[in-house]
Amino acid sequence: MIGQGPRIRPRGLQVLAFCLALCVTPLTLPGQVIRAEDEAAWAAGVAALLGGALGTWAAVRVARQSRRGEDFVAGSRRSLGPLVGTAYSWLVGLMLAVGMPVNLGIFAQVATTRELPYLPQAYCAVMIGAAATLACAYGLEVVVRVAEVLAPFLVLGLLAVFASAFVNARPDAIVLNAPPFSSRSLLVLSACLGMARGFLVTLIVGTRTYPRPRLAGLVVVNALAAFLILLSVELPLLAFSPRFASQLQFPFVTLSGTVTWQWLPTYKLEVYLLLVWQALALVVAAAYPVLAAEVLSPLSSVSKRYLAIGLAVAGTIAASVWVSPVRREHFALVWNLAVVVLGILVPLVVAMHPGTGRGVPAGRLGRS
Amino acid sequence: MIAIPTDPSTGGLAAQLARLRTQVSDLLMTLMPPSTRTPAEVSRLLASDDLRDEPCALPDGSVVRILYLDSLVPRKRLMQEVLEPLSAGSVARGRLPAARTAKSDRSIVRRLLDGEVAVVRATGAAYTVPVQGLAGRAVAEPSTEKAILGPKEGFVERISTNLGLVRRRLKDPNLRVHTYVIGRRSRTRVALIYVADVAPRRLVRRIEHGLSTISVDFIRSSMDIGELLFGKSWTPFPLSEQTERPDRVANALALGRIAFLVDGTPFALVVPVTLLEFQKDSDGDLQGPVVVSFVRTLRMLGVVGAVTVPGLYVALVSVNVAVLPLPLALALNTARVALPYPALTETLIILLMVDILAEATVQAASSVGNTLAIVGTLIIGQMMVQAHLVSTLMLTVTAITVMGSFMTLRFSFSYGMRIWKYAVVLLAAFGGMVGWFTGILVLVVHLASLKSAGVPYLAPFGPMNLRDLAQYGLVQPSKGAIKRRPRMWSPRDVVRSRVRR
Repeated sequence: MIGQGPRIRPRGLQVLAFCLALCVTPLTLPGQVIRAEDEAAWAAGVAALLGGALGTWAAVRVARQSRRGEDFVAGSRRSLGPLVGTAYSWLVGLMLAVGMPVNLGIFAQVATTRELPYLPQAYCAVMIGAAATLACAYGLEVVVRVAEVLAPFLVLGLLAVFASAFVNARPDAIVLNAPPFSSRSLLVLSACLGMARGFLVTLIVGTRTYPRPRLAGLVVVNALAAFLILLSVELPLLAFSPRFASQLQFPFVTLSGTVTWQWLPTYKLEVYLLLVWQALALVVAAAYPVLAAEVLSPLSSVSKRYLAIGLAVAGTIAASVWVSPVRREHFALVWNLAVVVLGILVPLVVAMHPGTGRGVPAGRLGRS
Repeated sequence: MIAIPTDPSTGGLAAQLARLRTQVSDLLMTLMPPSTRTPAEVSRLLASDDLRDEPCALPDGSVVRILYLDSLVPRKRLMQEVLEPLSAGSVARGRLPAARTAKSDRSIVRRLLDGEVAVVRATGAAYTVPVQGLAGRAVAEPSTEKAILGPKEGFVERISTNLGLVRRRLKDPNLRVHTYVIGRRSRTRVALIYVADVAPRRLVRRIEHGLSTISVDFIRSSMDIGELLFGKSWTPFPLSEQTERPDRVANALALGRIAFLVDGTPFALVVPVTLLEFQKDSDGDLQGPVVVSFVRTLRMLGVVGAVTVPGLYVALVSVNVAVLPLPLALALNTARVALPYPALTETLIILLMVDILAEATVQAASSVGNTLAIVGTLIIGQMMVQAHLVSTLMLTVTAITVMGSFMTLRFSFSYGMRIWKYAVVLLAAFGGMVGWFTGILVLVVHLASLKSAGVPYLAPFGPMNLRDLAQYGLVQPSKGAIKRRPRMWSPRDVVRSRVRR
């Protein structure tokens, strides 16, 4: 057929990266609810920034040293050596693969327990999962395009998070049905936030090795964007209110549960914010399998398309059946462990590797 | 001996050369064996009762045979354009300026089928003369795309007239028209039109190659060309734009798009197309930015409402009543209290009835269509409410849906919305608000997967292009502010306006 070739622009990849970067914050942490009310919170914030920096730096290095037309695995091997590079690729791929059931399961659980109590969790997860699987079947190009189309929801979500934080800072705000606190390590969680962005942003750039004469600039912009998002989301989270941190299950819980406007045809704001969250959940649920397939496909003999579909179907089943309040913590634990490994060990390995610094000079990127 | 006229009054050098070429051709034809150009052979190849083979005596005493298909050539035109010029003088080709030499019987047959008249001399030399064939429909106002301020001319079935309508609006020497004859049996003329220094060269080359390699027996309409070139996708949404308006085609060509005209079809086919193009009317460029932006936004809201409102009704009434304020929830359920079935059944019944009615009204003749509309309105609007088969609220929802479905300016696009709303309704009944929104998200994913001639269907929303969105999106800036052609069409010449302020 005429003119059916893929067309992905770096700007579209950036939008997808932004979606993932923001959604990682509210979507991955519910099992790890934190109590951010003392000095440990600030220490965790600093640790998150540091972890994000290290993770971003590692991923940027991999992307920079990969050649044009090269996939992420080859770039990792070139940057880290065959053994460490392969292990790093497996780690990134599996971590991405776990991302979908964690996020989707959490969304389905929160949506059905807090907002829509008559809807079974499995129904919710299957519906979003089916839409995400459809997007995965179309490939990364379509996932990127969907992210671009739904980008306005991203802005709405960000505004709602901020608004929710401000509302929650009011002393007279009474939050009904607030989820209980738990006591996970703040350090691990905050590292998770920064790390997930760091490697995701650069992973997208690195895996789709299209002609990229401005790769160096793109990577720098993405890295800066990751830090800006980190600052914009985490610092208010830590500064405004300890209660806000406890409500990450549904990041808009304060706003939706306390604010009413008479001119709205609904009881509270919760439905609108739930839809915003659902749009973001679709982007994230579709992005994780398709990115995992990008990484894992060269390591296996399965094509990217079928691998993405398989991962999406498996993720949907896991999200609808397996992700219970108890097991969800297991998922999150695996996720966090992988993040810690990526955020601390891999940058150290990269820094100590003899190949470090011998990659393609930045000025010649994309011209090899 | 061939004499070359030297009188300046007979024309310039080009005319003399043409005349010389004609005489040489005539001479060669007389030297060719006449057995292959006999009327009998033509009659054998074209064994049809509407083939006429009539002798015609000329003033010089010679006799020629006149061959034509009387189903394609009106007798009056034959007399005026062929027989009278012939009987008035010799058969020299100068008397019939449009004559073309026919080199074989098969070429004679092919031209007869195109509506030409063949003149075969006793020597076997033959030529054909195009005559004005059956009277076609006169240029009139488009029936499917009305314009209030725009021009009132629409395409007709004759391709030459349609080409003229486009050329009259785009007097650009770079406007290219390439004609192809496609269809082994229909032998339909298809014109590929583009502006050479604006349209993307790569796409033009691919289309030219695609057109030259099409092998099909019959072409019915311009949509056939679209499907043969770009493949048929399993989607209810059109991947090419059909329009009756020459001004719309000319505007599209000026922006770097490509158009097709097919003989026998009053619709031009324009590619690529995006979702947004279906919401732009022909009056759009003729009014102020505020009005245009308002109308387009209104139309987009209508289209979105057509898909989403029935599903939202089902979700709110049957699943997620708790999200509504108490007075509204009570009002909704009071309106439905007498209905014997759930909201899903009610919605499906009324939507199916309305779609059946719409289809019947569109397909029926205009007089019958009006009757159908009145009967349908009475039955749906009054009888079903009185019989407690639907609620009055559902009628309001139906009205919004129907109006929104037909607010889009392309009939083919409305089918996509009309089909998709059923999926949204079913998902809403299954999962309430989450299911309803999932239906919309799946629609977004599906639309994001579509491409028209390589251009993403959701451009400039996805891929996001802010400049295109600002200049060619829902908000229409003033003419002077539009300085560049939309990037989504990949034009070769991006500069559109050099207005300095």
